[in-house]
Formats: sequence, C-alpha cells, structure tokens
Amino acid sequence: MTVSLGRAIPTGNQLEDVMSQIIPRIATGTPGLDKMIKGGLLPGSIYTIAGPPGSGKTILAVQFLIEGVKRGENVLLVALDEHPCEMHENLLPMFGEDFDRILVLDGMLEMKSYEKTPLRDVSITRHAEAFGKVFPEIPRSSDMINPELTVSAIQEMIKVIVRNESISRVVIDSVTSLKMFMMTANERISFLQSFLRFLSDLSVTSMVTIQESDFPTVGATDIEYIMSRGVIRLYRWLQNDGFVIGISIDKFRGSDHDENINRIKITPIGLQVLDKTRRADRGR
Amino acid sequence: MTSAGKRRRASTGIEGLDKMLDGGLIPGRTYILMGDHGSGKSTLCGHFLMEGIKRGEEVLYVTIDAPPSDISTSFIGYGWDAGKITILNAHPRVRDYKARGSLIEVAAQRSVSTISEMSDKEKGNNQALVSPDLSLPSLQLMLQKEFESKAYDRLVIDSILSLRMLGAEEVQWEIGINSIFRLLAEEGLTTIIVSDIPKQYDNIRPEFILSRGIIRMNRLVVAGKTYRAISAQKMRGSGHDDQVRPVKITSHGITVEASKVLPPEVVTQLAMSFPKP
Ligand SMILES: Nc1ncnc2c1ncn2[C@@H]1O[C@H](COP(=O)(O)OP(=O)(O)OP(=O)(O)O)[C@@H](O)[C@H]1O
Ligand SMILES: Nc1ncnc2c1ncn2[C@@H]1O[C@H](COP(=O)(O)OP(=O)(O)OP(=O)(O)O)[C@@H](O)[C@H]1O
Ligand SMILES: [Mg+2]
Ligand SMILES: [Mg+2]
Repeated sequence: MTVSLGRAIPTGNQLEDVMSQIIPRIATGTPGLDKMIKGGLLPGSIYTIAGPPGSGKTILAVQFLIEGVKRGENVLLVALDEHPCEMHENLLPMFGEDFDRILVLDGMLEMKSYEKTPLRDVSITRHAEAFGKVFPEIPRSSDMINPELTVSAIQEMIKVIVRNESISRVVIDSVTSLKMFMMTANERISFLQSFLRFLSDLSVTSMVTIQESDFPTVGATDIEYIMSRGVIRLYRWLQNDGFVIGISIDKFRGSDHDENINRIKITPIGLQVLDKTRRADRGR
Repeated sequence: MTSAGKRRRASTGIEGLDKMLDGGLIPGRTYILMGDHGSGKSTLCGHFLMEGIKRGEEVLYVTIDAPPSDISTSFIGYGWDAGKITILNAHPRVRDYKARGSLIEVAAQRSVSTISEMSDKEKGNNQALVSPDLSLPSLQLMLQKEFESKAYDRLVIDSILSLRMLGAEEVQWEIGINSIFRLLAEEGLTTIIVSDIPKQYDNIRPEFILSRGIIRMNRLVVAGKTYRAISAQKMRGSGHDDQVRPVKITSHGITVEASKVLPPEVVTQLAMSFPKP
C-alpha cells in the first residue's frame, strides 16, 4: 500500500515538524505562552517550570489546570510547597469557582514529634478532594505517632486518583519539595528519576515545578530537566525601574519555539506573557 | 470564604513597609526576612512586635544570634516601651562539655522573660545549666513548651543563621525546617524568621520554599556613602511593590520611604545579585 503525503517524505527534523503539526496541542492556559511554543504542549509528556521564589511557578501551573477545568477535564494538583487551604486563600480570588473544581492532594509532611519514636510504614490515608471542599485551616499534626508520608505512598495515591477520576492534567508543585522533604541526599537522583518515569507512564500531561535560587545555575543538568520534554524557565532580575519577571523556553523536544526571554506580568487576574510589541511601545 | 487579598492584614508597624506589602503581612503565616549585617533586620522585627503590643497581642522574640541584653538595649534605645515583649533566650550558653543535655532537658530549661524582668534573670549562673545543643529539634521543643503556657499572636526568630551553620545535626535540616514551619502554621502565629542572604550559587533553601513571603534588606556602601534598602521578593496571595525602597534608621527606629527610589548607581549595585539573563 502506498500513501501519498502530497510532497516528499519528510525526514529528521522535518519529520518532527510535520508530527508536531499533526499532533493536537494542549493549551497551557497562560495568555501568550502557547504562542511561544507554537500552539501548546504535546500531550502525554512532562514539562518543567523552573524559577526563583515568587516568580509565578504555581500560578502558571494552576492556569494549566484551570484551562483543563474550562474544557471539562478532570485535573489534579499535588501540593507539596503550600498547604491546600492556604493555596485556596491565595488563588480563589484570582480564578474564581473554576479553582474549586481542581482536585488537590495534600502532600505536605506533618510536624515531627521528637518526643515519640516515629514508626515506619504506617499506611497513609489521604485522599484527593476538590479545592472547594478543602477545610480552611491547616489540620493539626496527629497526636499519635507520625505516619511517614513517603514518595511511594504519594506515587500510589496519584496512580489511584488518576485512574479513578480519569485525570488528564497533573501538576506537582514542587518536585523540589518532594526531593527535599521526602528523600535523603543519597536517594535523590534515583528516586526522582523513578518518580518522573512513573509520571510519564501515566499518559497524562503534567507540569512539575522546580524551586531555583535567585541565581540559577545556567544549563542545569539535574535529572528533572533531562527527563522533561520541555523546560519553561522564569527569571527575576532588577533593573532601574524595579524587579521584572521574564520567561523563556529552554527546551521543547519535537517543536520549534520562541528563543527570546519575554516579560511576564502577574496581576490579580493571573499571569500573562507580555506582547513584545506592546513592551516596545512602553519603551522599556 | 476568606480571600487572602481582601483579608485583614497584620501591620508590620512600619507604614512604608505596609504600603509595599499591600497592607501588611497575612496573619497566621510565616515570612522570611533576609538581610545583610546591620541592615536593620532586628529593628524591623522590633517594630513588628511593638505593633502587636499596641494592639493588645501576645508577642514572643526568640533570640539565637544575639544575647537578649543586646536586643533590649537597642529596643530601649529606640525609645520603645518594650517591657511587654517576651524574650525566649536561645542564645548558646558557655558550653559545658561534661553535661550535654538531651533535647527534652534542653527544652525544659528554656529561659523566658519579659524585657522588663530580664536583667535579674540574666545574672543567673549559666554554667549550672545543662549545655543546650543548638538545633532545630531543640528550638521546636522550646517553642512547643512555650506555646503550651501561653497563646501568642506574633513571633520573631532572630536568626536561623547560626542554627544552620552550627546546629547539631539531630535531624536533616530540611525535615527540621518543615516541622517548625508546620508547627507555626498550626499555631496560627504571624511569624518573621530572620535569615542571611544566600551566596550567589547556593542551592535553594527549604525555608525559602516554605515561607509565605520573603522580604530582603540590604546595607551597601556606594562611593563612600552607606545606603539601606528593602524590597519584597515574594508575597504569596498578594500583590507587592516591585521596587527597591530606601530605608532610614534613626533614634526612633526604621522608616521605609515607599514612594522614593534609590539613586541609580545604588540600584545598579544591588542588581548585581539579580542580573538580567
Ligand atoms: N493578586 C495579586 N496581584 C499581583 N501579584 C500577585 C497577586 N497574587 C500573587 N501575586 C504575585 O505572585 C507571586 C506568587 O506567585 P506564585 O505563588 O505562583 O510564585 P511561585 O514561583 O510559585 O512562588 P513560591 O516560590 O513561593 O512557590 C507573588 O510573589 C506576587 O508577586
Ligand atoms: N539610634 C540610631 N540612629 C541611627 N542608626 C542606628 C541607631 N541605632 C542603630 N542604628 C543602626 O542600625 C543598625 C542595627 O540595626 P539592626 O540591629 O536592626 O540590624 P541587623 O540587620 O539586625 O544586624 P545584625 O546582622 O547584626 O543582626 C546599627 O548597626 C546602626 O547602624
Ligand atoms: Mg509556588
Ligand atoms: Mg540583628
């Protein structure tokens, strides 16, 4: 059987170009970002959002989930940096009731009780619930011996939730916390590699955030960058008129993308990539 | 349903800083104040606690890096009636190498006093006490014991620098930090934790990740003149000023000039820590 593509059979990079035109793209939900990646994310892969404190990683990742909610998809946020009840306070005013439809899994460790000997391998009973149902206060750490929340427990919970709730978009915020608080220094590389491998096998589109210092090592070779299909990086720098935030696409396998650093703005209604021409108009 | 943006704020006691933070800190949350030596960190914390006292709140100052007498001298020097600030002295005592205390012992012998009653207590024989090993677990236990005896509204921990550098490694730093942040959130205290400014290529620290906001103070000398500056690095759930503002320290404490800017050559020097990529 012969198939005519109507032109020469594409090879190499050309093939990837054609592929990326055929494969439907996933909208990121951040105004201006889809344009930087020529239409959106490729489905079923992991994307990394890296940036310093307060640069907008969480908001950008949540916008990706809100976009899914708007399209009627089921979406999951694994909260490891901020407790769900505080995220709710922070972000409900920004996103309104769509935010309440996001499923959230509380992945935060409880307080350590130094006076009691911790028991290992206590099974964890945490469930994902819609943000709209999150209790508005941080729950007290159990008076009982602390159950240990482990990476494998979190992994197992994600697996069950993704299957039972037909989740299509997942955010891990942040993978740095997962690494810091749930893995010892020796375990980090292998555990993280296996966690990301697990995530990519789930056939969901996921964004994982990475906490960087204000002075990030350029060309980081950490496993999380290597294992992502795309790396979106946020920067904050100081110029004479104050701090500004920028965004760049460090890599995006299988697609052409914008090579510039664009400015972004966070307002009470969310985060957006500013239009270059508008920026030029302002003479900044 | 509360909305972080519209909610009541905890005033920092410094008008210009409140303005930069869209009204102040969000109550019940833990913030990091990072800064250079002599930039005014402890003074800012003093304003924050005095503001609490003005509002009839219970406030606690945990001093680790400086002896309590330094703090009281400087607060009284600013003309503050600081008598109601409770000080928890976690300043390391002279080390007695023979008797090292267990965590529990260390927590039990914590020394708490208000600034007004402090002078007598300080004269106590320090060496008679078990040598406390400075560590995150012992700090947490001291705080837990203290919270059992009184419900506080505002807390300052000044600072975690020596804990980080010298603290006994009873527990992985990340885990210890997570646990203290969790304790403070469960207690619902509005907290400022003082920290140093990390070196350029330091990895991100867990306390920066877990903090709900970061305020940065700088002290720098440009062309022979000393400048002090303050900026908000992050404020979850809130807008904030994106400029660096001048800070003045006088005999009345700190003023933040929220509608002024620093000379361009000063901003240029500060910008070396935040280079344009
Ligand atoms: N209503 C708002 N108006 C303007 N800016 C806001 C508003 N809410 C939040 N921001 C900005 O967004 C930042 C927080 O964004 P976000 O939580 O996404 O950052 P992040 O990179 O995830 O930070 P972290 O390092 O704390 O995880 C705040 O520091 C603030 O500058
Ligand atoms: N009455 C005053 N008038 C003017 N400046 C003062 C006065 N009192 C103190 N200062 C200045 O404030 C500085 C101390 O500020 P503060 O102790 O708050 O700084 P800090 O950042 O906590 O310092 P450290 O890193 O040593 O703890 C002093 O070094 C001094 O320069
Ligand atoms: Mg975040
Ligand atoms: Mg000080």
